[in-house]
Amino acid sequence: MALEKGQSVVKEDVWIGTSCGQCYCQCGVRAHRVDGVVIRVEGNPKAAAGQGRICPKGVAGPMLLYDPYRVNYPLKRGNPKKGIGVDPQWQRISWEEAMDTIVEKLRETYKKDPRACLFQATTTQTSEIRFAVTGFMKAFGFTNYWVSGGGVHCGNGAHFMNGIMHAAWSIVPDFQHCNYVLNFGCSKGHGAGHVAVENAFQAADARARGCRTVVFDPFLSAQAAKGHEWVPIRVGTDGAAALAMINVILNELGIYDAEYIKLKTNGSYLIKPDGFYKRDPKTNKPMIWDRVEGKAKTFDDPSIVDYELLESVNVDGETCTPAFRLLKDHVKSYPPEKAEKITGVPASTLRRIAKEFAEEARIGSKIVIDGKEIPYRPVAAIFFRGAQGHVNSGWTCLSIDLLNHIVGAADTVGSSLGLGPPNSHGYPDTGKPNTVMYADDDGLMVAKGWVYDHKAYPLHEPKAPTRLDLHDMFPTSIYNCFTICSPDNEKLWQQFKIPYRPEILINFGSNSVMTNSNAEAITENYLKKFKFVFSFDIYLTEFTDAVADIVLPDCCFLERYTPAVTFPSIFSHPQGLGNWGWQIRQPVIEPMYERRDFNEIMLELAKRLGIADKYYEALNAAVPTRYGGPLNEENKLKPGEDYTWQEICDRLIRDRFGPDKGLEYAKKDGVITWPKKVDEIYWKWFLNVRVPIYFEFFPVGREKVKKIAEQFGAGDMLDWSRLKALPDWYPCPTHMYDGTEYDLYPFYWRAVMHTNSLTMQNPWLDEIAQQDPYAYTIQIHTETAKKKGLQDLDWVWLENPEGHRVKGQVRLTEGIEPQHLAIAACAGHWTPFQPIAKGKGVFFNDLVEADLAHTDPHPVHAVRGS
Amino acid sequence: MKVCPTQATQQRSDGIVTVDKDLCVGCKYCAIACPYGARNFVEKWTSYFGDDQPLSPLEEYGKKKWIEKFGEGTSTKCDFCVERVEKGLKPACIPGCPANARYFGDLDDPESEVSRLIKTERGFQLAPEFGTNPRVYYLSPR
Ligand code: SF4
Ligand code: SF4
Repeated sequence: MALEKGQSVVKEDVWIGTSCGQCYCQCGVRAHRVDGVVIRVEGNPKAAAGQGRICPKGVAGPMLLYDPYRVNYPLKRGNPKKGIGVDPQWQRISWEEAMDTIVEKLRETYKKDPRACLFQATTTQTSEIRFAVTGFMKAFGFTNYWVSGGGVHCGNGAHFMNGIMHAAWSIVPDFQHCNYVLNFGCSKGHGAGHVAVENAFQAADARARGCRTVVFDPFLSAQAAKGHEWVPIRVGTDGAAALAMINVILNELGIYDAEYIKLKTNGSYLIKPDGFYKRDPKTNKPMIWDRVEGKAKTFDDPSIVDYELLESVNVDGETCTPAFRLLKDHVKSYPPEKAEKITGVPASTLRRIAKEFAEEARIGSKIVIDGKEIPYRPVAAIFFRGAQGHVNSGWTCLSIDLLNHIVGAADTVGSSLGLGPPNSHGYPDTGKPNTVMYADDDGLMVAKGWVYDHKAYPLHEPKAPTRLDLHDMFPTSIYNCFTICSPDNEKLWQQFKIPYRPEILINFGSNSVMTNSNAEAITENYLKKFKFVFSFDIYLTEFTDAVADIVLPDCCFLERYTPAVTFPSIFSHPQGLGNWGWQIRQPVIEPMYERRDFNEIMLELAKRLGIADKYYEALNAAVPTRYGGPLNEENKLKPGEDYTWQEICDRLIRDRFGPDKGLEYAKKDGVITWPKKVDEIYWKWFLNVRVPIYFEFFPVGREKVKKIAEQFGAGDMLDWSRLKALPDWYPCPTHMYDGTEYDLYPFYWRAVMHTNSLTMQNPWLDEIAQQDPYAYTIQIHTETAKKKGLQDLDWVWLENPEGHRVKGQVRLTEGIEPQHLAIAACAGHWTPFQPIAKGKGVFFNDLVEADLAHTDPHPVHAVRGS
Repeated sequence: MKVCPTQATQQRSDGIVTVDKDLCVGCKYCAIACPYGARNFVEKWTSYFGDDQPLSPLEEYGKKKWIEKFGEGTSTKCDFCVERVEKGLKPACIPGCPANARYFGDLDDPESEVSRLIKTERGFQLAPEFGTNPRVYYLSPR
């Protein structure tokens, strides 16, 4: 046979276990290296994330490693002019010159006002940013931060609400047991979202098992096409549909899981006429009404016989109403007929689906797994991009999730599950990472493992702002891009007495010129205001070309060490039955050319600036929340030492797994695994924590932020009334447009073969995208196109009322709600340094306005408004 | 196989059909005859990043392997990654599929996973009217 002929002799043939970094899912992979060349990346069967499977982006990893357009040497800007379309005139410099310049600039700012820096980081390399970003910001002394520009690719509302309700970054159905999924415009289980690969095969198995999926989406997306029912819906109105279905379930069908609401939520807590909890004057604890004894008691009183959920009662002369009753009455303002007008979904469809969902929840049923009898609620309502990407994202995500909670379908068998799970008892030998959630004084759940110090709940305490995005004063936001990108930012900084102005921007792999909103606006209004910008990149991007002064050649995920990529488990660890897997990232090849790892460089910068001890201290302090408990004394980083990045990695791993199980041990397979326990996975009925269905703490936060805003004469900057205790649907600015000239709703969706703006330069992925009729085009309904005289593949301009325009080719399809235009991915690159990406697809984000008018006060978040 | 004038296309005893690049003269008869469009004709191996860029080590490797295996100016087809199969690995598309939608195994063994699935999941072949008895089966939708 031909195969045997003329084959060359192989000297080296190794497989190396590590973690994919082509997107934030961090699947476990094995790289195949033959004679020094990485020829293939496959799934690592030992890893919990993927269990041997990966997606095409992971497979295409070696093309990223070897792309000749990678940044291989430090570069400096030759052209002092900045802005979009300016030729940066890149010049190669030595590492020495680059580092000297950076150190000098940092020193100047350190002396003047260290707060004037901003760290901007990509969401693709989330495990990396937990070290260098956290360490450097604290050591240097600044708090300005966002990931990927904090724009429409960011899940501000979704993660926040999931954190409160599930202690996790994201929720998915328990595909292993779920029978009925309500999917609101998200690709979870269909190729994207966190835990993409594991969810893809779990969802495929669920479908084979007979799990029914109903997809609300304006577009016949991959998940809608694979689902059993596609419900076309007007973009940005999912919240109204969800609230109407809650109304049907509670008020028309009278179905709810009373036991769950009594024991696992604050539904029984008594609410005073002013909207706040009735608290016990002695203990300050929220009170409930014991309907058997006819008496008010604190929520955790062991003598409670039964909780009142429906009737108002008189306590100390005040009429108090159980929170559940308030929710039940509140949703009466969403009759399906009204929701039909908002969403375009027929009232009869909303009623039918609500009934199917509530009945399939099988309230009261239990199932035995591993000898444990556990409540079984095989339904889940899930959401992500579609619910997240509009004004009112927080309430929209929450309204959808409340469908789960009213029928008790949360974090128990068959139901909606937080990723991970969030609840880890730890490795058997060490009990770490331990991330068991706990209750605060009000009985509500607090996450233990989280990716940031500030958790979703309790809300962070509003303070007079010190950050450029005024983040400190808003109790419910992760970062606020509106204040930064808005043309009024200088005015706001003056008004809020921000004592410094932007000085240094440190960028780790983000291309915020493309990932936030209108490119010109963010560049001119904000990015150009920084006096010095240095950037770690693997490619030159629209961001580097517009504003970077120095570009450093970063390693890609196949060339670097990261000690923990799948923890905290809430972010990218697979949920459900199976193993725990603590994955690491290790170089499968020595970095080529002059590429150097971001984490090593930031550590070196800290050392050169003389702030290494503070850097170590910050890393020690970051470990407990992010990796499940503090470091043992002997593994803590000690002041005065000169650690390498690998030593730091080793200490963390050894601390979690035992003295003989450090970096070297983890390198063998790239992952350390141990079995998950059923009470870790389906923790709802094993932990004594409640989640809110009445959000009393939002009005508490509202009063505080309002007061601060008023102090600075900005009492009317946002509509604070949205920070309230019960969910509502609010229209987007686009819904309120009443002219006739702008007649279509464009929206963005995730093409599964691409990650953010990163992968379009990858020739393999570009090839798949080109074969997909939709990835690089604008989808328009055939009838709509006919009315406009458009034919398939015609070039068009899309323009929004603010006058921003993007160009693209239309694809005619019946698979879209006729009022809409669908656009995939963060595409439309123009940098000459990514010739494969250049000119491909449509730059949707250019149509997104970032200003106060398009800002959602809850959580504060800029939204697409076109 | 029948149309191949040089007997470059052969069926192995295990059923896998391969093309011997040294025998293939590039006449493309097979591409015309194949009812499944499964034949590709590769004129010349081309780089991914354009001719103005030097070949990356990965491309060098890929090119060498390609030419060793398929040559240029020859016809190619899926051969179930026969070099992987010989090493006891599954074809590359099997671990590559995130959804576990693809299976590979021995059709001659009635107990094998593939034989079982074809029975239980109503497996069918494409275009059976051509009588080619292809070794690729599709499972019916559930
Ligand atoms: S889902 Fe993400 S991490 Fe997993 S293989 Fe694909 S690109 Fe890599
Ligand atoms: S799921 Fe289907 S399309 Fe995706 S890799 Fe597997 S077989 Fe191919």
